[in-house]
Amino acid sequence: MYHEFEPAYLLHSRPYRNTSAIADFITLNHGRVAGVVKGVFGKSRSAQQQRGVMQALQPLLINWRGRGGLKNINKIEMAGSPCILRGNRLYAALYLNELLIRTLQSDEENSYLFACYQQALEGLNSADNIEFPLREFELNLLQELGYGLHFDVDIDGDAIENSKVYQFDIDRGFMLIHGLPEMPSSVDAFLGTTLLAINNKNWADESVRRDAKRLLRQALRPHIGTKPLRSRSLFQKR
Amino acid sequence: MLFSPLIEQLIEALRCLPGVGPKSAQRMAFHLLERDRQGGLNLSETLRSAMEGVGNCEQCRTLCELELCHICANQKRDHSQLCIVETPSDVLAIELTASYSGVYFVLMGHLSPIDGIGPEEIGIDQLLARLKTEDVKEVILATNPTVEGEATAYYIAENIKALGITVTRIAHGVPLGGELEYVDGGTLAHALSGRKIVE
Repeated sequence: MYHEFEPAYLLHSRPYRNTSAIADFITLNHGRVAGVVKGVFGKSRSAQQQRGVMQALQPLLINWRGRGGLKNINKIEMAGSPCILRGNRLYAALYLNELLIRTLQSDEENSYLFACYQQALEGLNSADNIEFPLREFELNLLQELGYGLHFDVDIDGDAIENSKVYQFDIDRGFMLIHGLPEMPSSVDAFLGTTLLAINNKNWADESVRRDAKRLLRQALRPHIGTKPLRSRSLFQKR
Repeated sequence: MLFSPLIEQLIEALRCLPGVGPKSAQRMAFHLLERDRQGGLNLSETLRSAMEGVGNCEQCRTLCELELCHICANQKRDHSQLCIVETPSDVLAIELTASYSGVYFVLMGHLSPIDGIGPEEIGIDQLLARLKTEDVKEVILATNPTVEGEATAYYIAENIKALGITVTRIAHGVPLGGELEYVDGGTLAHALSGRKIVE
């Protein structure tokens, strides 16, 4: 099976043997594709150029051969200007890559997720607050993994109401908490107003952003495995 | 089994070297056994003492068998300039240019969350402790111009800012003797965004 000029982004690469690399890509039509890129760490001028091209956050076109397991990636070309990010925005992009490596299975076709990734990178480049693109990407990722959340109805099928408090259950969704007029301190409780704001992608309020972060961390936890995400430590100052 | 166990073992052991497959390992083993027994013994002794004796320099973390490497111990060098690099071979590369006379700090890698390499693994705490106690005026970030290298540079710069030390980053650009036509787009984009006023 030969695939030509498939739009892709590099998620991660590591040296393999003497001069080769094993690289993980997210592609438009074939989901995550992992393969061997031969000779990329060699000393020749063409190898050096290929190293320059084979960078994360840069739109690429790749050719590969093979089915199942590791592919043989034999051509990588640039397909646009790289996304040059700095500081927290760069760490956030590394977080996206780590999230995808942890959650995506190989060769599962998903062109919508590719578009979401592209959009998130653009968002990280241009948005005023990096939390907007990050939260939107996390929501889309959950949706595409088949665990999308419904922010407008609770588990009984009733509409979520602004004034009520709901408890989040990873397996089932939002459950109305009865007889609690004030915001409880429990970590899995969320205000109806917050849920509706998330549903409308209205991130203007800081408390909505904070709660969305808390909620999505809980929702993503079963998918990323037991090890904590290392890119989160980059955001902490020493 | 093609060879006696000890020869087999030697061939297998030689294969831990980079670029050495079964055939080259076999050639090396037979060369040592047939023609250069003394060289083989020297190799084994040196290998053992290097493996046991070489550690990391206490100040800059580069590989060396003494407490301080020869660069850190050299008082003639400018200790107010600190160049941060990823690997010991980067130190060598900069030393060969003969245009830098300060001291180094070797991270022994770069930040790479997916590989599980965070700030602790690249010795950020040791670096910050060193900057607090020593009189360093300029920190030069010479990590590789890759996404991870950039992230590492920003992370270090951000954490140093509070100490009031000048932080600089090495320039990226077109190689000497290169032709623009053949330079990749990414490098050219960096070269353009980092252009300088002609004086």
